[in-house]
Amino acid sequence: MEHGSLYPALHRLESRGWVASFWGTSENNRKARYYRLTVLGRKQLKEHTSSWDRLVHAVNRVLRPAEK
Amino acid sequence: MEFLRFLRRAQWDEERAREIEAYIEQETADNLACGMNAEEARQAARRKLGNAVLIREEIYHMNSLGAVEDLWRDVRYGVRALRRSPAFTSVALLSLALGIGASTSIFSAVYGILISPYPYARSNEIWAPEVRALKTGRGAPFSFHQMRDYVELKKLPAFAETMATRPDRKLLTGDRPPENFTAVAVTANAFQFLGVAPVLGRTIQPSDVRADGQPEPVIVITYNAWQRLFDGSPGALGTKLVLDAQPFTVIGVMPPRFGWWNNDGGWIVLPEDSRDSRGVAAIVRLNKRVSPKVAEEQLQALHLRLAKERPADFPKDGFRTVLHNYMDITAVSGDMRASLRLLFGAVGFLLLIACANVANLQLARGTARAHEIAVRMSIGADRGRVFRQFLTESVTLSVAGGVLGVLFAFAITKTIVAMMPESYVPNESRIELNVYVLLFSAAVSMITGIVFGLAPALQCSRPSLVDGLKDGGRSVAGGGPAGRTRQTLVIAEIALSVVLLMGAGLTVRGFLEMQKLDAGFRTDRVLMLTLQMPVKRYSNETQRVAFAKRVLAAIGELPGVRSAAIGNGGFPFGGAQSGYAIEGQPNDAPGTLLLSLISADYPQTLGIGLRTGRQLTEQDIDHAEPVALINDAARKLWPAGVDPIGARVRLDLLVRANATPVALGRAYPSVTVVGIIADTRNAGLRNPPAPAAYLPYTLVPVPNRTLAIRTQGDPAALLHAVRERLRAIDREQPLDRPITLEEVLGMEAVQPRFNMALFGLFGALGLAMAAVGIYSVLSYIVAQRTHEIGIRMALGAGGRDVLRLIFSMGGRLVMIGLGIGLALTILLARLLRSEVFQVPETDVLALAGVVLLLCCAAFLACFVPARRAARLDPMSALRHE
Repeated sequence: MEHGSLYPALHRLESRGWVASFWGTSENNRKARYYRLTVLGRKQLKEHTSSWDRLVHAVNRVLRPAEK
Repeated sequence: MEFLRFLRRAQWDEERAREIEAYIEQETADNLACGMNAEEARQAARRKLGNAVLIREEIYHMNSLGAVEDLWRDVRYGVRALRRSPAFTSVALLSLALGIGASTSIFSAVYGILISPYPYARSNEIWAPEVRALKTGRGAPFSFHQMRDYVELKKLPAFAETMATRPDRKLLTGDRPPENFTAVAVTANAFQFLGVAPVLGRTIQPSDVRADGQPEPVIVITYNAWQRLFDGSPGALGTKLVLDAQPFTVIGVMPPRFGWWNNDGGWIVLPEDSRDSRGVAAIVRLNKRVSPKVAEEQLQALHLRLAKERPADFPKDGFRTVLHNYMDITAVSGDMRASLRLLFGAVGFLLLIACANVANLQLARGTARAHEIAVRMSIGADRGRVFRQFLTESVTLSVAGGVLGVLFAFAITKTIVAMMPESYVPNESRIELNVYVLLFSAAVSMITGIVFGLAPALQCSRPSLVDGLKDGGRSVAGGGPAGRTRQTLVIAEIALSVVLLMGAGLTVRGFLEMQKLDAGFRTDRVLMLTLQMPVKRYSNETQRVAFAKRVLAAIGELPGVRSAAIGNGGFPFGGAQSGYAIEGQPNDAPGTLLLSLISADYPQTLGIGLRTGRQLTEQDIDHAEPVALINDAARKLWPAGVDPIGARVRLDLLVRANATPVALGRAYPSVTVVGIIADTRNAGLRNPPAPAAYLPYTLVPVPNRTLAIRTQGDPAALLHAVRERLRAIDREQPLDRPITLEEVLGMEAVQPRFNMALFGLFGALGLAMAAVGIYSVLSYIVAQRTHEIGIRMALGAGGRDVLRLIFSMGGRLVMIGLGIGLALTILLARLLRSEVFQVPETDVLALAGVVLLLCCAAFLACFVPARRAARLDPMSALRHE
């Protein structure tokens, strides 16, 4: 996967207000743009993670019973 | 939120670009650290990132509102493309603007003058009767009905409603400067009949006629009079206007467009008195289910009865009664009506032609851009995108053209209104830009532009790109039904513009002819003036004559005055018409004589030569001798070889003169011819002289006298002195502005000038359109044949050969169009001449001018595309596909 495809995704997250970005200096003294989760973003993450967990859980329950 | 992002999209783009740049630098640095060389490091970083431009585009799209963004870009691209081909753009814009502007403004004029000239209720149901002599077909004067006849007419069962009008002028005095005031008397039901509400106060009601039949002294005034006399103040109601020494109370003000028989005076009550023998003009509305024919029969029966009682008032050898619909007897004279209709037809074509031109231009452009479209599509534009782009371009062009067209319509309408001769249109008609027609023409031409702008996009956005890419110049130029249609259109345009130009040429010639015309009298340095002699103060003829003589003497004494004379009627045009009979001659061709009432100095003052016999003497005037001068035209009423001098002529008007309120001491039915003077253009400059007789003014008592004053220097310099003299003799003489004879003649030229200007304008427009047409078709052909021209040039044809090729194609169109146009002109010539122009024959000068003008325009129109073809680089033309 090309790293560049990350940027549109980041841009979308930022425009929804889920991440905030700022210019900073990297460890080797270069200018870099940093992204950080916002409060809203954290909430979204939690929601999506939990829904992901539920999905995984559900899928697992469909796949695993035979193994038990 | 979205919108904010949209506005900040450029900023974001920059931000991301920097970020991506930072990423690449970071990666490059890392790669360098891993031991790659600089070049490798950067390339590896780029590979890892992917297509930076695509990323930025993706983000940019996320920020943008797609439709708005595309639209904006398309508009900008469209404007750029249009600016890149200024010839195409200006020509298309011009076509649209001229087509919309010209057709709208002419229709507005036609609508205001011919279609809807009146503000009256159901004006298309109003009929006016006329009595026509069977032999001559000539109508009696409009007010041939007397009031007592009207009372009878009103009772006829065919009529649902009737009203009568009697125009009159009264002397307005009181505490204002005296002036001639038009006070039109109308029957008490007139305002209900006409159905127009006043802007202030009330109109005349049936209750304004008292029980004893006497009218209440009330007056409804025109909007103009209200503005002029009362400055538009509501306080006007209830004030008194003193007219002919009688105070009238102002009871109402009519709206500006209400102009029943006058638009600067007022209306007073006309009682329906069955003993009143003065003339009125009657109009009627018919009962339901009564045809005009039945009504005519009933009226004819009444007229026959009246003619038995008073034979002198009706044509001698039988007559018939005709009803005219009011819409057909507008003040619009035949001339104006014919020229308006002609113009209307012409502008209809003009609009069509404009549409055809725009269509042709768009097609030519589309064809030239087929390649561009194919390229765009092959690098990824989808059909919708190309379609949208073309749509935007067409709309941009059409809207710009439409806006120009609307501006143009305003300008032309304004010009037409400014030029419109006032006396040729009804008081009531208003010429306003007709919004519906404006919308219609704008819509038609804009839609044409858009539809034909899209045609190439539709054509080219077909799925097979390969064909599109290849197709640059393979189609056969000008062939096929579409090509023929286009060429036919252009030929029609050329033919039409030839007709218009010929018309313009004829009007110009007609106008110049008229300027050169000999009026039969010397028109320079003559001042005209009217003396008012109200019956109340000048109750008998002696007083009137004494007054007129005093005025003549007083003015004659003024330094700078050569001579002064009285010349009622026929001065310089028109006058009272009278039936006549020459004693001792069979009366086989009944006609009328124009009567002029003159003083002895009249022929000398106006410079009319004496042919034979003698002039009228002071003696004749003083004693009101029954003698007359006749003009050359009247001399022809006698058979050749018979000397009219000494002959006696019986004049109907003299018989009737006894009935006027100022009694004459004696009354003569006949006069003796004593002299013959030269003809003057007494029936209007453009008509042949009418037979006329000149009588001593003392013979017929009329309420006013017209004075002619010949001056040594500029007549305007004497205006003040003349007025002062007049006021010294009679303080109550109105201070109308005296007018010079040259001004009067100038008014005669107003209509021809109007015709000339309009036809000139439309001839020029037609020519411009035809040139545009030629240009667009040739452009189209050149665009289509680029490939072929390239081959020709590659095979050795020079620029000159290519020029010749294109010019011969253009020339063929022009020649055919010119031929058809000239043939049409000759066909139409009779119609044009009789209805609009007084030019004896199609003249060679105008013809040559038109041909030359058209050829010049056609040359220019051919030149641009021909040069484009000749300058083609054969290599690129071949690669064109």
